[in-house]
Amino acid sequence: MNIIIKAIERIKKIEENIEIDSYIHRLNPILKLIITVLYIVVVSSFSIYAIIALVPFIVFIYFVLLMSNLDVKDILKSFLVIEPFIIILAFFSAIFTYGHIYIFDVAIHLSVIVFFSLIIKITLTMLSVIILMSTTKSSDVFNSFLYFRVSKIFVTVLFLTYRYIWVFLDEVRNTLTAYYLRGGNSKKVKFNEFIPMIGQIFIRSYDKGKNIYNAMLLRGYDVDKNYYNKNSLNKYEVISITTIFIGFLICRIYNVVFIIGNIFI
Amino acid sequence: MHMSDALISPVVGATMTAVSVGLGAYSIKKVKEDNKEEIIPLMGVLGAFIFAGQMINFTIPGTGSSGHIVGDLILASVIGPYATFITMGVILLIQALFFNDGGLVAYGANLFNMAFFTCFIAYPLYEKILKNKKRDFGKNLLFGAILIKLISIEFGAVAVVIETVISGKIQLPVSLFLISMCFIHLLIGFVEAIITYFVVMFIYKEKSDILYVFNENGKKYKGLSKVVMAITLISFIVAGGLSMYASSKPDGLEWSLERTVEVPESNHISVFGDYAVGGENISDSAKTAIAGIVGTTVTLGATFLIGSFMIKKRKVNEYNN
Repeated sequence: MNIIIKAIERIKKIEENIEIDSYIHRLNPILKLIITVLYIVVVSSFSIYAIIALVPFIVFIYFVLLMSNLDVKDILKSFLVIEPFIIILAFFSAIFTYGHIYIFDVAIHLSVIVFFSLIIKITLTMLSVIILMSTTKSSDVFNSFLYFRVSKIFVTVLFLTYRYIWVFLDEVRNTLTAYYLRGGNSKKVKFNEFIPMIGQIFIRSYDKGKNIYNAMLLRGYDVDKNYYNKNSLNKYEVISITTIFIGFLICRIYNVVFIIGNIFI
Repeated sequence: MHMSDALISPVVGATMTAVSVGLGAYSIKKVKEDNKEEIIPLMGVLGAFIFAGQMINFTIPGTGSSGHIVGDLILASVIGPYATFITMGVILLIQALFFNDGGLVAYGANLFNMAFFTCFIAYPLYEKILKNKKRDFGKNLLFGAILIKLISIEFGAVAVVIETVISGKIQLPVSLFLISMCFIHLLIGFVEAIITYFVVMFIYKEKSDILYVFNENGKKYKGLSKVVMAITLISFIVAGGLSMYASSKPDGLEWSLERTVEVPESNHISVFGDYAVGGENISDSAKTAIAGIVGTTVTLGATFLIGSFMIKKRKVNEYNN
């Protein structure tokens, strides 16, 4: 039950964040989507030992977060739910790493480097997606897929699924509430009662799907018609994307932090 | 089985996305060929159902642990393999965007691992088993569900291991990773197969006409064409080849670390050596380490200083408004 409430709260929070006004919120959704993907690609291309080389990317995401006027604490709180899984994974990866490196003649086990590198990379890639979805309407993100020639059928199913997740989360919550009210203290559904429960919801969903199709037909639905606002990029946005991408590449190829460090010593 | 963005190399991610996009386009073409436009809202609604249904945990009898449905085979039993592939694609995209389960670069790999084997490899066999008239439907379904679920989940688990190893982003030993993945997913697959059996059996008893396997009207399912199979196989080889090429030219830090690990402890080589700039003596580990520490401190210090200034300015603006 808890997991359903958390899922509902999460989507609600995302939709609340979209209402905030900021420079990042006002940017073209296609531009934001492209930059997010480029950012993830560049961050995930670093080796398993990279830590200092990731600093420019921490700086980038920090500034984007600040410019988006989002509540940093709130974003980090939603992130904490995922973090335990990341820590377990990074831990298992680290314990199978052998060897040492030496910094000022102090031996540091490579597992420490691998652990922190993985934690930073996963945090950055996930944060970028959280920021994208917290600053862009879900419908705008879905519409942006049309710019990349994604099939209209896929986008239509995406819209429908997202809208109906609300309906079904609510339906599942009501079903479970009714079950717990009748079933006393049980925290989980018994297997023999789970099957008819899920089976009934499934058949109800199927009927609902058919009814929706009939309603769509009555309103003149035709999948080949363009129902969506097809956005595109203007030349300034293309220049912005190119500039940011070049910036990412420079930070990927050269260790900017060392260059800055060398200026000061 | 969701792979995260940080665990997959861009080369593997891009290759798997290209494969999954190709399979998705093929599935959409097949759904259109079936002339079943009514399936579109059905895919949306059932996709949402599967998403919500995954949140009901039930007790696994005799173990004390809990499980939930995955739903790919239940979906395939009702809307067919092609529509299932598209629906799973949508579910995985929503999970990646809204719930940070999976990722955008890893999206293609996740879709391939979790839906390809069920929809394109195992489904034709499943339909054949269900149509066997020598046994009654219940026995066919039980046998089919267990066999198909185990085949698809084990192939999916092996694909995860291959993609992760080719990506080179984690350090687990291949044999241990493979054995543990296959073993865990064997158990998961078995539990899923039993749930699938009971749910499909429930649907069969209550509303058998909605099962895709019995719906011959306009169905043109012929499995995956040899061309698509060949493209899939080639893509794996390309991903492997490109990654090996990439790893034979590692970036500087990796290069220096490889050296560091190989040399005896008496020969200290700095982990920062490759990034030393402006110095003639590249093996001067102290200088490069200082450069790293000073650079990080200056960069992060300046960032947080500007950041705190921006926060203060925003608060003043909010107060004035």
